Amino acid sequence: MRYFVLALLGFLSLILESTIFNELIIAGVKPDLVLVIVILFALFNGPRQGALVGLGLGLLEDIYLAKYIGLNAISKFTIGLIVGFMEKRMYKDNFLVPVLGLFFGSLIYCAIYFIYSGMVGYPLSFGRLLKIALPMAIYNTCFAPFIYGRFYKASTKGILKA
Amino acid sequence: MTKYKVLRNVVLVLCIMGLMLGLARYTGIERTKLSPVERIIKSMVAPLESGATGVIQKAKDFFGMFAEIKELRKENALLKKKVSELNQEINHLKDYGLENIRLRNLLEYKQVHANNFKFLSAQVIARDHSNWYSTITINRGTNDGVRKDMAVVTHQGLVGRIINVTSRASEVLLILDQEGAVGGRVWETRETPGVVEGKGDTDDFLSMIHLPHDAQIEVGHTIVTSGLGGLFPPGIRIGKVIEIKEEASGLMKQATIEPFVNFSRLEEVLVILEVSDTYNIQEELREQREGASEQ
Repeated sequence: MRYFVLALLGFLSLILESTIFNELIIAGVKPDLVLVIVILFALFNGPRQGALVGLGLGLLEDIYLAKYIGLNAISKFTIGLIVGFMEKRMYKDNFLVPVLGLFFGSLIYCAIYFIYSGMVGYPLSFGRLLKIALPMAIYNTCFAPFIYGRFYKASTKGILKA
Repeated sequence: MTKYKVLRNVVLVLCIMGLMLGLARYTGIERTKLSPVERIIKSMVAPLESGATGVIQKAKDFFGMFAEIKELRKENALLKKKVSELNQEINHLKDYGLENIRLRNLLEYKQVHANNFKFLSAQVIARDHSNWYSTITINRGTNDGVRKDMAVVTHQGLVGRIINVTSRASEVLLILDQEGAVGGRVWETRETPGVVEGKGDTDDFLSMIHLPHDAQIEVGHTIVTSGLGGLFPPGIRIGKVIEIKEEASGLMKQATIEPFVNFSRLEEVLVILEVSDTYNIQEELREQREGASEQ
């Protein structure tokens, strides 16, 4: 059930990204909502689940975008794995956890995406990476106050509980 | 976690990575055809995207309306200001146009009479200082050579005479004033029968009084200055006869004259500084000639 909900959330995120958030572009970027879901989910569920959800939602995103299928999947798989490894070391009641997790998770994700994109032959310049990484990390972090509480509830007692 | 499990996980991760990277390399931007899965996802998403975009557009239109109203108000205020400025400019241009016509007329008059008179152009700077006198003030004075009793005219005809002079301005008593009487004669018959004076009422008409009972004067005749009294040079147009009636005694007639000068719209005038000797001689000769022919 929770995978179905996550898939639905991912689907909804993709639609929101390509519609509403096109009107809410700040500093030339829009948020990566799928990445936000993957990071938060990995923070609560560890590397295995994080990587799996990252892979699934990333693949959904790739199919949706219909180009370089696997690039988002492998990037989000990797970030899910990395953030998931932090799961045991973090005290999830602390509000700083999602804030720092989303901020640094997004920055690392951009670096990973940059590396993988080079490997699959997608011409992404380093300048473009620098232009996107920090604003996107900040934009993604801004979602922490709005969704972390619900995510926490859903992951500990609600629909996203393992 | 056993060593085997760790190794298995690492292999699994590497396999996934390899698979994904390979797939991504294979499915770059330049592809001829989408896979069935992609086509299904895209066809599922399209109506949702379309709906979301429609909602966003409506929201944008709604909120944009407020911004637009603000913008329109601003634009409206700007346009109103612009219209007012342009109207002002048009009025200025109209003024300049009218002034141009007036000045051209004055200039023509000046050129036509250049041999007879020495003129000085002046601007009317004030009018009727009190209710009791019909006067105007012009912006020329003794510094410009203006002296008391000089005649003031426009291209239309006689205006009045200078009654007070300061160094930079002069006061002109209009012929409309009862005190501004002028010796007049009928231009068509060259008779010199009467005195033209203001009627003393608020109408801008003149009266020509003391006309002999048998004076040859008709409605429509033009009245010019006679030159008698020495204040005004002879032959300057005063007005047109519009009515003739008998005086109470029954022995004399009087005529109502509509002046040629529009006194309510007087803005530029000419002061006659000098009358040439030849003009006076010509007028005298003409008088004599006409006197002889009558006899």
